[in-house]
Amino acid sequence: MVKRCVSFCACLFLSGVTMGKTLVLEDGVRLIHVENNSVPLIDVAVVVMGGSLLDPLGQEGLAQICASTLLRGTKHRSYDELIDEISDMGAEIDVGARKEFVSLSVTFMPKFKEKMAEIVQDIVVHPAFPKEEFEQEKALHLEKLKAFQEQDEELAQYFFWRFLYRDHKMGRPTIGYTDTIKKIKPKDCLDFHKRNVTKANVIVVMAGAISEQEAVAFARRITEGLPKGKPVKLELKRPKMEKGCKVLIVDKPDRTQTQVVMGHVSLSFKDEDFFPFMVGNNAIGGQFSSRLMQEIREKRGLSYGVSSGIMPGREFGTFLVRFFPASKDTIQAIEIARSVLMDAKTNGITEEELVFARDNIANQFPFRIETAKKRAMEILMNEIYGRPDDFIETYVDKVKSQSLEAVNQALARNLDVENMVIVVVGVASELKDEIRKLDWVQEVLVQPYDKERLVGSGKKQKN
Amino acid sequence: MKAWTLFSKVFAFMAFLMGLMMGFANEIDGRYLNDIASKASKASNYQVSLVDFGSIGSNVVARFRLENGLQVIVMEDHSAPVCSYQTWFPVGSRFETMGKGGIAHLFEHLMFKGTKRYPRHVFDRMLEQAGAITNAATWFDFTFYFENLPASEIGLAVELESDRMQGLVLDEEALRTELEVVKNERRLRVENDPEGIIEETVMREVFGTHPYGRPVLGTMEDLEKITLDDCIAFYRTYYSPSNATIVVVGDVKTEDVLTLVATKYGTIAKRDVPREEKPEKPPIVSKTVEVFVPLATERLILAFRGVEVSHPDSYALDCLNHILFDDESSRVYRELVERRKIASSVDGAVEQFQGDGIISVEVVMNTGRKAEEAMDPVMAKIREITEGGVTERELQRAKNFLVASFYKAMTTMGSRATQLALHHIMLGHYLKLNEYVPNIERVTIEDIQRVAKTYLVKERLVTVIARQKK
Repeated sequence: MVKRCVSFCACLFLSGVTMGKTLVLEDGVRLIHVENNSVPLIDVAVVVMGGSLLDPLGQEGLAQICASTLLRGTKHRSYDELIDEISDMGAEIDVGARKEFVSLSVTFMPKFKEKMAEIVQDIVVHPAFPKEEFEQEKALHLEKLKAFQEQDEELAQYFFWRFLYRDHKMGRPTIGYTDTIKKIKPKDCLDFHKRNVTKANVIVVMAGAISEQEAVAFARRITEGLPKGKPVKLELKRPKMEKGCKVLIVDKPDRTQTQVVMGHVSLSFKDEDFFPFMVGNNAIGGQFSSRLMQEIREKRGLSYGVSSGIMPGREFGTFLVRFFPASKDTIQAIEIARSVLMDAKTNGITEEELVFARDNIANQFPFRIETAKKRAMEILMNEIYGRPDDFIETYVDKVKSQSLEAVNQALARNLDVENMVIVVVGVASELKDEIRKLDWVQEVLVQPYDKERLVGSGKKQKN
Repeated sequence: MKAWTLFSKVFAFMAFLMGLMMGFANEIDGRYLNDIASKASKASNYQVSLVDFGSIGSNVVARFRLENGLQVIVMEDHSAPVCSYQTWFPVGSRFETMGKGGIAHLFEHLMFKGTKRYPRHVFDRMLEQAGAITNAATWFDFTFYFENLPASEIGLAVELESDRMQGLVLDEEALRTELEVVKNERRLRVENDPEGIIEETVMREVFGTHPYGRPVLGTMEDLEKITLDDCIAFYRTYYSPSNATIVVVGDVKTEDVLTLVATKYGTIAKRDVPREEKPEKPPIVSKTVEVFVPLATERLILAFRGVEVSHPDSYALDCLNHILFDDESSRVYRELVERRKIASSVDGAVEQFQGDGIISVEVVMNTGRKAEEAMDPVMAKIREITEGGVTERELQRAKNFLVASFYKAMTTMGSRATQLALHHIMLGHYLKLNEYVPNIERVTIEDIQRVAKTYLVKERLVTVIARQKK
C-alpha cells in the first residue's frame, strides 16, 4: 500500500506537462516520481539526507568517502563483480556527497529494471567496505585532491568557501583534507551507514520511462532490509561575519589569468527577501545582457565570462560573483564589479530592468522543468532545502508580482558590499601590492595554492 | 579530449531511436508535408519545397528548401512547451588560411555585435526577455548558433537570426573589444588549463600544419593579425543562405515555422559559396614528444590516427574504445588503476572530424609515477585484443553503453536539434541519426579485432608524455 503524504507536492499541469509527485511508502520511504516516455531511459537516485555538513571536525571528507566506497563491495558482491554487473547494463553508477546529502544515482534502459533494482539494493543495504578495496578508494581520492590543484576555477571556489565560512560547518570541505581522509577507517563508514541510511532518512527519486506502480515496486525493492531509523536533523546557525572586505590571494605561479570569486553570506529560500533579491540580481549579473556582463565583457573585454548569483540554502545562502580577467586587468575588473554592486545597493535597478528581469525569469522557467529528471530534481530540492511544497507551482507568480520598491529594498538590505570576501587565484607577487592599495580592502592574505588549509591567522594584517 | 568525447557521444546517442522509426517512416504520407510547403509558399510569397522526410521515434521530421538554397529541418515535438532554433554553417576553423587562425571562432563572437535594425545588445536583450537561452559554438568543421526558447516566441528567433544573416554591422571598436574577450577565452581554456595545453599538443603533433593541427581558438599571435576586412570577407563568403541549415525541434507547427522562415529569409539573395579546396590528408606519423605542463602528476597520452566520421569502422572503434579505455570496467583501467595501482584515471575517446580522426587514451599517473610506466601495460592490453580478441560479454556491454549514451544525448529539445544537425552536417543527412544503433548492433567480435589490428598500431601512434612543469 502506498500512502499519499498529506503535504506532498500536488500534480502540476503546465501546458499539459505533469510535474510529478511525492509518495510516502507504508514504511516511511519517500518516493519522488515523474513519468515521461519520450526517451527510453530511467533515472534513479537514492538520496540520503545529511551530507558533509555532518562530518565531525577531524573527519572532514567522511560523507564523501562513505559514498565513494559504497561501490567497493557488498556482502554478496566483490568490487569487480559489481563493476561487471553494472557495466553489463551499459550503466555507470555515480556516488558522491554534497553538503546536505549523499547520493547514488544511475541512468539505465528500462529492460534492465529488475537487475538494476537488485544491484542498487545490494549496494545501498549491504555495503561491506572491505579493507583492501577501501584503502584503494582512499588512495584514489588522495590523488584527486592533488589533481584538483591543477584547476584554477576549482581552486577559487574551494578557497572561497573556506575563506568565507572559516570554522563554520559550511567551511568544511566536502572533499576533505589529505590528513583527515587518511584517518578514515571502514568502521567509520559502517557507522555512518548504520546511522544515516535508514528508511526514514532516504528519498528515492525515479524519473523517465517508468510508471508509478513500477516506481513504487522499485523503491520498495531497493530499500528492502533497511532499518526504519529516524530522519537526520540538519540545522545550521547563520554564521557571524567579521566587518570589512577581506582578500585572499591564492598564490599560483605562471598564471596569465586570475580566477576571482567575491561574495558574502546571504538569504535562504525561506527569507521574505529571497524573491525580490533574486529578481534584482538578474539585473546585476543573472544574464548576458545584465550589468556585470555589459561593464566587464561587452564594454571592456576584460573577462570572457562574469556572473552573479545567490545559492540559497535552508537557513541562509551565499551570494557570489565570479569572473576571470587577464592578470593585468584583475584590479580593474574587481573595482568595476564592486562598483556595479555598490550602485545596485545604493540606487537600485530601473523600471526597465525590473520588467526585463521578471519576464526573463518567468519565461525561462519552462526550461527548469523541461525533462522528467529536471522536474524530479525540483521536487527533491523542496525536500532538501525545506522549500514549501508549492514552491514550483507559485514560482512564476511570485517573480511576476515583485515591485520595483520591493526589489530595490531587498538589494539595499541584502547586498553587503562593504563586508565581502574576495578570493583571487593568481600570481601573488603581481597582485598583492596593488590590492593592498585599494582603500576599501581591510585585509589581504596570501595562501599557497597547494596548501589545503587556510594559512592566514585571521588577524588584521594590511601590510 | 573533452570536446571530442562530447562529440563522439553524440553519435552514440542518436542511433537508438532508429529501430522505432524505420517501419514508421514508410507510413508517413508525404502529401501532407507537400501541402504544408505549398501553404507556407502562399502565405509568405516565397517558394518552399519539401526535400525529404522521415521520423525520429514517433515524431515526423522533414526537410524543406527555399529558393535561395536555405535548408530548414523541422521536427514537431510536443513533450514540453519549448523549442530549439538552431542555425548551422558547415564552416569552421578547417577553412582558415595559415596565419589567420581563429577567425571562424572570432567571427562567431562578432555575430552578436548587432545590425542596423537591432543594434548591439538588443539581440541578447530581446531574446533573454522572451526567456531564451542563446549561445553559439565553433568547431573544426562547423559553426552553429542556437536559441532555446518558449515555443510561442519562435517568431523572435526567426526575426533576429534572419536579420543578422544579412545585416550584420561591424566596426573596429567591436572587433578590438571582442578580440580581448577571445584572448581571455584562450587564457581560460588553454594557457591556464593543463588539459587545454595537452589537447592542443596532441592535435598539433598528430596533424602537423593541417588545419586539424591548428587550434580552433587560434593563437594569440594569429588573432592579432585578423583585420576588420578579413571578418567582413569571411561573413560575405560563408554566411549565405545556401550555406545554412536551420533546425527546429519543439512544440511548434511545421507550417507556421516554414511560413515565418520563408517570410523572413526569402528576401536574402542567394550567394554561391566557394567550393572548398580540401587540403590533402596529412601523412600518418609515429613519434614521441614531451611537454611540460603545470600538472600535479605526469600523464601519458597515446593518440592513434583514426578515421573520418563517415568511415564504416567508426562503430567498431566506438565499441573497441569502450572495451579498452572507457570506464571502470575497461581493460586498461583495471590494469593500471586497480591491478598495478600506478594511475588514478584512464580516459579514452574516439574523436572524429569530417576528414580524419584520432583514437586516444589519456592516463593520469599516480604521484611519483613516470608516464612511461604505463606504456608497456597499455600496449600489452591492446596486443591481447589484436591477438586474442574480445569476449561476447564485453562487446554486448559496450553496445549497451553506447546505446544508453545515445539516448542520454537526446533528452532535451536542444540536444535533439543538435543531434539532427550534427548528423546532417557531419554525415550528410539528418536521418543518418536513425542508423547509429543498427550499425552498433551489427558490430561483431571479428570487427573489433580487425580494427584493433588496423588502427591501434605503432605506425599510427603519437605518444605525448606530459611532465610536471616545475
